[in-house]
Amino acid sequence: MGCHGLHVGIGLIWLVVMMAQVAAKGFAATVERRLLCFSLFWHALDIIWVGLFTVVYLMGVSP
Amino acid sequence: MTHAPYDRAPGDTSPSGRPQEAETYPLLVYTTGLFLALLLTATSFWVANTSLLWPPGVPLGLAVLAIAQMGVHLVFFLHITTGADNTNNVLALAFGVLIVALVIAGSVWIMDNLNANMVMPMNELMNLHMQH
Repeated sequence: MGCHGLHVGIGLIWLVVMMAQVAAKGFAATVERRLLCFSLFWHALDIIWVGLFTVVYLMGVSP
Repeated sequence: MTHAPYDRAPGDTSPSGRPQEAETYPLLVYTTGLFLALLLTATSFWVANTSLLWPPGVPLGLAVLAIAQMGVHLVFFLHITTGADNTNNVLALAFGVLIVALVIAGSVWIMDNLNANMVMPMNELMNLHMQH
């Protein structure tokens, strides 16, 4: 549980850092590249959550 | 095997500076992905909550929808393509899936074994005595 919180926390810090970079520098080539790396992390988590959500929640509530 | 002189890393533009074909209309790509993801999510919720469907088929339907959703994410958000310049990404993905599958299947296998050895009712113990 603690490890999960740490993982989420670091991910959110990364998210805020990327938002700050876009706000400060705009879509410069380097910022865009970092943003794409972050999106790789973010959407990979999405894919894991599709599986988790389907098994734990959707299959749990289905009658 | 197709030989590509250049392998595309995530977020790369091609060396000529010309954007990849799939990246020509990024807004269109992401909007299509969002639309498909919302459609699949809504369908999943409906399938889970309706009583119109044959109940034993519901988990299978949910699994199909979930796999479709993963496909949408891979194609529209993670930009996995079948192009020759994407071979390394596809192979890395396949290797990742293999490792995760091994870890999950192996963990379930071990936990199942532990569970079976932990609680042993008397009749099972008898059977074990008979076998050996």
